[in-house]
Amino acid sequence: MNELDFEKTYNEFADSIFRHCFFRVSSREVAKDLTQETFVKTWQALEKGKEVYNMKAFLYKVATNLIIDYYRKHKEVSLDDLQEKGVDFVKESRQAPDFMDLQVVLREVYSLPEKYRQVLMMRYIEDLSVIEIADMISVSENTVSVQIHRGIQMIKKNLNIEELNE
Amino acid sequence: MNNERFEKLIAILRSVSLSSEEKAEMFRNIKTAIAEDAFREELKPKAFSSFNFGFLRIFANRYAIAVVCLVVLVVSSAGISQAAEKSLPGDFLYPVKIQFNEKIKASFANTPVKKAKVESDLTIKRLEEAEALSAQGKLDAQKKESITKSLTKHSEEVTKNITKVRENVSHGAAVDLDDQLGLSLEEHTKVLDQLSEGTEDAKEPEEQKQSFENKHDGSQNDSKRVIKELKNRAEKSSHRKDDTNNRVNEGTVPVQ
Repeated sequence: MNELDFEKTYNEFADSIFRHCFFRVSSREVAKDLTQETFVKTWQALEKGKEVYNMKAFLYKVATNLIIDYYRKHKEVSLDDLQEKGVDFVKESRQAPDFMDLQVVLREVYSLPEKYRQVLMMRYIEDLSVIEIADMISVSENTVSVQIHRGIQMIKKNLNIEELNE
Repeated sequence: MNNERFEKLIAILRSVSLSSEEKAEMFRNIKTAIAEDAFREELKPKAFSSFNFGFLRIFANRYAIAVVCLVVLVVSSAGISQAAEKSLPGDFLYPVKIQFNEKIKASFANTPVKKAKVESDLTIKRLEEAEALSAQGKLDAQKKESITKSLTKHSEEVTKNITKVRENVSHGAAVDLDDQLGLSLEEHTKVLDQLSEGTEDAKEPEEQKQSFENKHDGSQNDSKRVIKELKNRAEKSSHRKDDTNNRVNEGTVPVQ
């Protein structure tokens, strides 16, 4: 892969990877660092001759591993911390539909257990298939399906949604 | 509350993204990090140094040291043993040939027939050594004595084992072995003559040593007897060959 192709890949997936990191670490700055590191590591792997057949899946795998490393090094961030950092969630106000809505939604998202939050974000925000998610986080497709189902049940309960299709 | 609210929730979450400035800045940072990484790689010691000295890591394991030592020992022993094969009496490696190579060879012979063959081969080998030394002008009295002593030993072993073959295996097999040695000896009659002269020459200075006189005379006599036996064996074999040829010419023995 040459630099031009790499730049195209970056432009295509930077936001997705950033969101993937952001909903896991709850800090915009940390998510930016992890996104940056994800692309650096991917370039290094390609430079060393690593053959990548699915770039999207590879980027998510690298990002997930970096997030795991981050969690190992840092304590979990509480919801109170999250509220304090709320103003940092979206910088471009024109892209944020409603700041208060986002605050509410994020509160709901972060109230979900980590394993459900991860698969729900990947499935509904990044439109990844169950097979892709299973491959990226190295679990079975069945496990992913069960986690999505349970996550949806929790959201239904939390948001008082009666009719929600999975 | 219905799917619409969920869709809104998803839309809100999808709105989380990097600003164009953040994106551009991040890409610049990525390029800088990649360039720095490439520079660090350049500064790293080249692969050849780890290649050259990497094998030394094997010595970190004591079992590996033992295995390496064993391999070195076996390889060097095999090399020395191989080199000793070409040595002659008086050479540095000659004792290795006599005490190591030939004793190992003899130890593998587990039947009287095989033993007789090995000892016959060694008898011929001693005569070949004597010829090589004679050709180099190095066959002095001391070497003649040493070779004759060795000849005596091997020849006696041959005789002993041929007798065993005659008694325990068959008369024909014993005659074959005898013939084989006789035929081989025929080619070395000249050096046998030289050696028989040698035992007589070497006798004179030895006569002055009274303390060893009896023993020395005994071994001298043995050597003389053995050389005489070897010469007789060669002659007998020669006669037998002549007889056979004559009978073949006369038509009394069919040609095989």
